[in-house]
Amino acid sequence: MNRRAYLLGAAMVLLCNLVAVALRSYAEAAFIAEHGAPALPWLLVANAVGFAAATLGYDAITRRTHARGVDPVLVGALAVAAAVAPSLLAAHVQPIVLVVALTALSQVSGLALWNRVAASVAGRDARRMLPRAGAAVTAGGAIAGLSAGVVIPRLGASALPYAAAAVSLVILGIALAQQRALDTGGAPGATAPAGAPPPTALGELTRRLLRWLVVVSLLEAAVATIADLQFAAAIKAHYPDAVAVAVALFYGGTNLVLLLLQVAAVPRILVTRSMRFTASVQPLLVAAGYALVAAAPAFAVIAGTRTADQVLRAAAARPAQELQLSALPPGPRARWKVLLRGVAWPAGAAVAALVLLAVGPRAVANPAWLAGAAIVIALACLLAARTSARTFQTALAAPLGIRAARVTDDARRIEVGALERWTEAAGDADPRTAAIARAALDRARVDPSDLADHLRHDSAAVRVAMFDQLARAPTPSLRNELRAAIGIEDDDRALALAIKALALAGDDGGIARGLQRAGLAREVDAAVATATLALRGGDVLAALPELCGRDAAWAAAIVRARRATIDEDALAAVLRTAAADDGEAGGGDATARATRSAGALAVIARVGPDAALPALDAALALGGPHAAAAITDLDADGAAYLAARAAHLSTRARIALARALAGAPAAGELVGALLADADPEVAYAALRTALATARAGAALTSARIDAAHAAALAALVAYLDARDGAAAWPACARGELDIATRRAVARVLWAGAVEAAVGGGDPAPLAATARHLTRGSEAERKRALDVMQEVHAGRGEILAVIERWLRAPAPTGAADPAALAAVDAWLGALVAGAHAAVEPALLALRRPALFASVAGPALAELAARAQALSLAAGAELFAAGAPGETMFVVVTGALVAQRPPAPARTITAGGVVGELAVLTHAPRAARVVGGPDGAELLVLDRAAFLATARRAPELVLGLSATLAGWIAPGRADVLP
Amino acid sequence: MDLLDRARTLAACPLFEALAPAVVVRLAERGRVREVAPGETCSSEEHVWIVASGALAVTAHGAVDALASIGTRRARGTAAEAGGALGMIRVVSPATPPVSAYATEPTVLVGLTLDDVRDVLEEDPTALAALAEAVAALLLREAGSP
Repeated sequence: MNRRAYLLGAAMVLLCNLVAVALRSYAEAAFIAEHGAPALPWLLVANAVGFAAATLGYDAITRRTHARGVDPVLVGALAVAAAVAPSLLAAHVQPIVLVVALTALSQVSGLALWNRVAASVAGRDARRMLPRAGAAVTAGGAIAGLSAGVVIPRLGASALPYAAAAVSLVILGIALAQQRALDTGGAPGATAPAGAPPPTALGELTRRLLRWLVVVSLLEAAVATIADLQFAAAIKAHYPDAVAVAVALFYGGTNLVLLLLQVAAVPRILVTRSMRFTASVQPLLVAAGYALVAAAPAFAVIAGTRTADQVLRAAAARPAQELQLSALPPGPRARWKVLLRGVAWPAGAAVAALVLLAVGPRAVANPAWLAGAAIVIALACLLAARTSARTFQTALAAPLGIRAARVTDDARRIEVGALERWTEAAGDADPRTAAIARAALDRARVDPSDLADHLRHDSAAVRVAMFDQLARAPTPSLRNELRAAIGIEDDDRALALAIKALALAGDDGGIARGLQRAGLAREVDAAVATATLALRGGDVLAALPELCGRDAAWAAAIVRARRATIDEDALAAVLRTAAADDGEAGGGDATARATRSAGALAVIARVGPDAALPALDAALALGGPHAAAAITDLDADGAAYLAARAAHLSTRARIALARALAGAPAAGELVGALLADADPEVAYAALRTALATARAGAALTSARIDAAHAAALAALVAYLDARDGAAAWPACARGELDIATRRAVARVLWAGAVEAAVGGGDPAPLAATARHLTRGSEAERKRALDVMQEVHAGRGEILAVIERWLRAPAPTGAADPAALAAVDAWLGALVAGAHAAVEPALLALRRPALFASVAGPALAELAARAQALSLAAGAELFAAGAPGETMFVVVTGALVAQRPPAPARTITAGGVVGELAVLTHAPRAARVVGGPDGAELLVLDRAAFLATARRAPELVLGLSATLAGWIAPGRADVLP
Repeated sequence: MDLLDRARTLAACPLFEALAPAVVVRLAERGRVREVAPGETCSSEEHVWIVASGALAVTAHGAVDALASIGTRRARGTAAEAGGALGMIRVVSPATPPVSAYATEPTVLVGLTLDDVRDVLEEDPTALAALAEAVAALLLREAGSP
């Protein structure tokens, strides 16, 4: 922002509007005195045509000559016209000529000078400061109107134009000074920079936006014309002997109200509310005002409605349109700013006035008729304004590739035919096909009672799937139907599942039927034995390991049912032993032991006991697939059990838990418990998962989401406070603070997106905005903030804190490490010097883009496992074709990769080699040697890299991007 | 194609085969189906396309491809058949140019917006790992850089 140019510009537009109002009051009073109210429509038409003609003239001139030369001439012409106006009136020149000339000149001058104010500010500053410049314009009008009310009775109306001419000369002087200020201090918001190329062609989206803005201007002008006409007639009737004073006082009072709004409310609205809201305010309230006029057409109501129209147009509608024009490239933006106000608007006013003329005096005499017409036009304007605002939102987000919010098909609406087909697929012999079909049925929230009618379906596969569904969601209310179905079931697999479903519903009626088929089918025998164990007693602990390997869900159900009869310590010991023996040690049936281990982990996750939780903790922390599967298969009761104990798991386990929950549709409560976790890495992972599951209908309470929001916001504020006092911190701490702050920004936005998803909205635009805010260039981040305001309007405190993040730090005293440690213990410790040993390696790892966004604690863990290596000039690091288990980060010096006949490639500090071998076990693709001055390297082995990748998947994202960058430029983006 | 069909199509794509079933279904919810007649084109400008059935030949990726026969394109990996994905590399490497492709036979595609795919990559580490391995395999086939 160019402060000097802005202040001079604000003074300039204040005085310009003062002149405009004074001259308009003078000329209109002269016209009304001469011709009376019946001729008013002609005045409106003439005014509009004159303004449009002057604007087109200005546009034509400024397309050939730079506005900096034209604008002073325009203001000079205004001064001359004002000075000669009384003489012309005395010489019997028609007042309408004066009105048209003075109005056109003053209004075009106002538009031209406004563009100069806009040139001094840009971005979010423009949203805040332009309404204040608008307040200066209004103040000019208020001063003019109220002073005229005093001046006219004492000095006569003819004093006004002389005063206006004098003030115009002052404006001329300020305009020249402001131009110098723009030349020397810069013009960040210049819409048509000097020497700019001709306006580029507009895209389809911006053309559509312009079309809607033109429609809005036309309709707005039509409503304003009706308001003006009705008001002028009313004021003439109400104050027959003091029209000029009444008009001037009215303008003054109106501008005073507008001034208050522009200073107090408009800047806040423009930086917090969505464009659809801002653009809707004026037409909606004007329509409401005219409804009152139709009901009670008193002078006060007419005057109030006209005031609302004028004030809200200037306070809300105009700034909204100006901001929408910011979606256009600079050249067309400047031009259309003038054309919308100076041509489209007057054209709408002229057409409306002509229609009123055609209708005749009857219209003026019938306020209800006029009010009805105004309501219809205002509502049409409301629709057009909202459409243009939506188009603006799309145009704003399009360059970032952010799509508009959309409504997805409701997966819960499922037809009977599809239900049958999906259910049949859920019984498919292929486990993957069956699992996907079950997930689709889960998503469709098929009520188990819907299945009752199909338990006797002709297809055994369908019956298998139905019984399986009922076993997964035990439904005691269907006992009778299940008993009846079991009685006639002749398919062994279906019968086994039916016995299981009935037993899990607490009914032993299936056991007798199963016993009738004893020895004929192994799966039926197993189901009978397990049902007996669950319902009639037996040694659960002895059977548990085998049961864990066969059906973990049923094992957990039996433990739940028989809990009171089982010794907790013995249970924990059995499960710990089964979980620990994962088959890795070899010997015996390794596969069966691995399956039992996975089942034991699943049982622990669902029912505990607490003494066995360390086994799950360790498995999660190691990132093993069995632990992840145990979490993915959690049922709602299991999720509730683990939610109550999550805080006791280690940080690494909680991170893994939060990530694994992305595939657990029934675990909403557990995700919720992790959302406001004290560890920022856990909360980050949980929010990302919540975002995924919330749109699939996971049960997340608003209290949990609010807590996550509050925690994320508090963390972000703490990071920003620390940033303001971090100037003296070492580079490593400042770098880590920056990463942590970006991740906190993502958390804040994700919390908003989760809130939107739970409320039935589309969270994708906000999630995409978070991506651009935290990873984009500075320009992208600023645009993303504007997009965020559009899609996440109404959260002023969040917008304010993110704006603070985007601004440069405001240095204060030293930061308070304790305040930082309260929201981020690891970072607090880093600042206190507790991680000094890994800081050099951490700094070196941050240089490659591959590690840029990895959470600090995860990267510090990798840094701690990295080995330093010095390589002499020309010494071989590895040969082409050699097996590779390690990757290397160049800390200083350089490496040279040789792969004849390709030219040698130099890898300098911050470069990485060998990552492909680490990921794929592939042999080295090139020979790599030390550069001319040798190289200092960090060596990362596969195990360390993969452990960090499990904790921080963004590392794999970075690796994918790195590898994708190597793909030959001519290679098409097609993966088999 | 209903939700289950879309989910099955995605699950058949090697990039998504390791995803948890619930994640595949969530992704399928966001996918849209497009049927492409022979000769009709599609672009990866705004979408990742997964081929459910049929085949596509890449056209707008260099003059050589434009002139090559479908057999040559298959040999170079510039034809997409059932389970193939167009535009996936662009998701992680935005500088990658979009491709245009035309159907060589009646083809059914499931389209996902770039942001939807980015979301699932960030949400589910297994999807990321599958993508990284697919890109790495591609590089190895083409004898890429170290």
